Amino acid sequence: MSTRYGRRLGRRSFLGGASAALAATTLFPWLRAHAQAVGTPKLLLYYTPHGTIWDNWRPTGGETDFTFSHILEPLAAHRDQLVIVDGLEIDEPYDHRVPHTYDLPALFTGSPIDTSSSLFTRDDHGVTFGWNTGTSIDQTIANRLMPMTPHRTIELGTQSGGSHPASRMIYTGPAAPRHPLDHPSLAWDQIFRDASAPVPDTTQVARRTAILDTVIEDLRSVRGSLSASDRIRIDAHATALEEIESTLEPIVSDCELPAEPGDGNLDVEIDRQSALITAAFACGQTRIASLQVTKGDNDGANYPWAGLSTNGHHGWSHDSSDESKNILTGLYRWYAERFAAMLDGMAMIPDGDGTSLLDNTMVVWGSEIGVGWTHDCTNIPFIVAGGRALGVRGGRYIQTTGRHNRLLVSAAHFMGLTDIASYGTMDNAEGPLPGLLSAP
Amino acid sequence: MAGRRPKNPVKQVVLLLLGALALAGCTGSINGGATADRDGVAATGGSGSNGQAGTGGQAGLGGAGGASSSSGEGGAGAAGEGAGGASGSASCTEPVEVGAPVPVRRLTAPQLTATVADVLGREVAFPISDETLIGYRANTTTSFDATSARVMLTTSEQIAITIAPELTSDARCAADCESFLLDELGPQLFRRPLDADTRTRFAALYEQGVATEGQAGGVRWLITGMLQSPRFLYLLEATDDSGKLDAYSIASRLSYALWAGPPDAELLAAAADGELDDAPGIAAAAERMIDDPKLLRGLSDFAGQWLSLEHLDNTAARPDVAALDAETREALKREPVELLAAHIRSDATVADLLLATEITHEPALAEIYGDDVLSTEDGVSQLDPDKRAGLLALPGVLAALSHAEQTSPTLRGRAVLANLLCRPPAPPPANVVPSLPPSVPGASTRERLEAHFSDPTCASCHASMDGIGFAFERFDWLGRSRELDNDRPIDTSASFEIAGDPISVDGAADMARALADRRDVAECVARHFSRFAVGVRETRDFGCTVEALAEAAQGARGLRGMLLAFVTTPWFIEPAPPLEEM
Repeated sequence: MSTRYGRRLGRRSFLGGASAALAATTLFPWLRAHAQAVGTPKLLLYYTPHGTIWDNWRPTGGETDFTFSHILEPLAAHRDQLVIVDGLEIDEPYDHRVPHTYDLPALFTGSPIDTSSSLFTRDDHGVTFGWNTGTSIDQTIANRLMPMTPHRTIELGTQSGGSHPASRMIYTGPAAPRHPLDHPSLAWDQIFRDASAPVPDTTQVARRTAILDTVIEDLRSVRGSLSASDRIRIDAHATALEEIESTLEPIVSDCELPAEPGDGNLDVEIDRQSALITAAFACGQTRIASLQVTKGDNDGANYPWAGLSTNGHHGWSHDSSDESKNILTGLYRWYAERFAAMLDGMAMIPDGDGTSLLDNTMVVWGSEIGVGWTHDCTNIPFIVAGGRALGVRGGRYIQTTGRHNRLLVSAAHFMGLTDIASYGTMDNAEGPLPGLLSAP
Repeated sequence: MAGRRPKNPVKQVVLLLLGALALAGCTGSINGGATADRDGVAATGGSGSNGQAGTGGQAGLGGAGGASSSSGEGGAGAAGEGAGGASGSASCTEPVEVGAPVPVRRLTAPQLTATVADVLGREVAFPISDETLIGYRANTTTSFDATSARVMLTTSEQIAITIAPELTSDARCAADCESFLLDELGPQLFRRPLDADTRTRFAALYEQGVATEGQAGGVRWLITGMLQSPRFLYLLEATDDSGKLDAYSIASRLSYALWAGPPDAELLAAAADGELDDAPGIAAAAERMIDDPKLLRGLSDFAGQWLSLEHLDNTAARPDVAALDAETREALKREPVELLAAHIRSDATVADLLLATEITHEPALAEIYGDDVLSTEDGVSQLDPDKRAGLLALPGVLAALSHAEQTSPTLRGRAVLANLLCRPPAPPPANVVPSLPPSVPGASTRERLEAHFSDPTCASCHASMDGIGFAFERFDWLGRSRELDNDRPIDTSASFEIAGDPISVDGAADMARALADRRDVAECVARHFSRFAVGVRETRDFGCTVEALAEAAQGARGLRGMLLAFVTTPWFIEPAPPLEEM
């Protein structure tokens, strides 16, 4: 395996436009991946748990002359980059469900959980089920685009819990979750440590390659004696190592690398993880990412700084009293503030041709249900943000109907995969969400 | 408590226990109503519709516990207990000789930490997700994803960098480093000797490392590689020529069940010497392991999940606990584990565990216990038996089953139902809008929850969960005794039904007495330990064994007897049955 390393170049040297970037990468091949990422569409899937309080989330007014609600008001500064989507449902093909558990895997796969499997028994639900049946849209897009970035995709989270359908939303395939990195320090270590080395460690790539080759060979050597299902797991492990091996050469770019962040509670970790994703986009580490705030089943966290001090978020979400609605409204507004802060950061970073990172990034924010105490998922509070330079028609409040799969199709189209006409087995072929993207 | 165990009765006792097991396996249907839940998979799979009906219609424990004879039976199985044995209703019509259907297990993060600690002497956290599908960490269904594999790569590198100088300067390395690493360390990391091909593969990596970065480099390359090897990361179990699990597989099953860590040199030697080839030999090894200090690590892993003690580490959910000093926090978690260990080691029964009023003095908890400790002598505190008794009244358990600065009769009651009786309550029904009365300012927790019951949909389950939980209301969120809640008097009377039997108690000590001698409680403890130990839920086959395990737990050798019986059951020591039989 060849190894190429470079020193940092001034950002200006390749931000002048596509042709300049092309010239730079001819001279300095290590910039290839970064240059490819500049100005290209990027996708971020964003999740917060347990729906919303509709009376305080839903804007008033029409499609373009709407007035922000109390919960979404913190997003007002990004009005032009915002599409508020009211009316999409996660339409599940089963009668009985375990709502928080079944719907988190459906959110970005558009496919139901496997209810024919008996892998899991929910103690308290009297049902058995398995993992998801589909692939999340970000992974499908990555498979199609094969981005030459150091990270094919990046999954970050905060307090995302153990590995369980109720706490995993990103899947490379059925029953194949990708686990979010839960802490900013760990995320930074995985994304930016190598890129931050003042002098690239030339031995490291050779060392890692030899070690991973040995481990892959070792995995192959044990598979013969295993059951068919265990063999699939071991083979997938080998595939994961091959994915790592193919991206061992660090990308060196002159973007402003973030300092190593500390860890903390949700009050700081959401912002820090958001900032790391923003930096990962800006530095060409990936084009496709997700951020998962806690988990579907169940967010037991307290948010005292937002007025929720005991009993946990999920506890309150089952309470329809006015007191509870007030507390939850405070939390959901706080989530909107976090989301807005992330958009602020993306809007400040140039991303080629006079556009900002936010202009080139489509952010899809959703939840696993619509209303906590009813577990209703016939209307999921979706927000689409950013992407103005690449076709997202912002500044609108869309009242619509239909399945949420249409939003996943729209995400694929935004990323350039306009041949995708439907996504996920829950899709009833309605196509993308009408009017979200301008006609190509 | 100590001293009741005879000196050297191991093999005889085990043979007796095995005999009891065989009998129990053939006693036929325990409950005539049991339906054809041939195994957990079929039982639970087939009962989804029952569970569904149960959630909406059946009230209280009947819905979850399967009190009714026909559909309720399915409900019991469906309620998560796999074999439907939650209500003592397992139907055993034939002797059971099959092992648990255990897939290849990837070590959990705590098991990785323990393995590295025991073999390499380094305490390292592995920030890697574990599956939490059965209430216990067990990686049995998914593969290692690229994100986790990358974390494993960098964590292995960091361990190897730290340890390489020490290993390189070891005298055994000076003598023959390759042999030291591959023939001494390797078998400890992989929990079995390296076969020739594997040895060659890793020797090549070592030599390549030496050639590139010198001797210390070779050590570093090799350790980094071995820590990512499937032989380290997974429990790769093998069968011997007779089709039984081989001795090294048994050794690892034992060590991860009892120690939550790898076999030590003595256990590996026992495997090599054929001492683990029969049940008495396995029991003898387990006896030693129970008396080893590492039992506490194993029980900590188990009880952290069984009793939700890990909830105390969740700073987001429990800022109140996070604000305590570290020693108090550790003592809260340590005390239940120590109590469990002491009872196992002294052959005490489940009833002893639930009724104990003599506990090891924990200075850090003295303030929490307050007047509930009558006296302390020789490091043993005597609890006021009218106020506190046993495991469930320990501050750590009571605190873990609370919300931040607020008790949760719901969590406490649910824990009793799900983790001591194996009768978890049914869930809130979907798409039903409960109409709750407005909260009353100044109400006690009990009054607030009882208002909740005014909605019949909520009452169907909360009446049972909270009903049991009310018995513990005299203990606050930190397990401190209190006389008032929100300035309101506390009512600790609790009335509920278990499998149709009405039960009334007043207070935690009374609750402990109501539970202590129940056979289904002993069975439930065995079921939970089994889930922890083998990483899969019980099937009907285990339901046949569980009677005997419960009998052991209530018998002369108590919880120790139960563990010894468990680790010698076919369920634990036989390989998984072929797929078509599962």
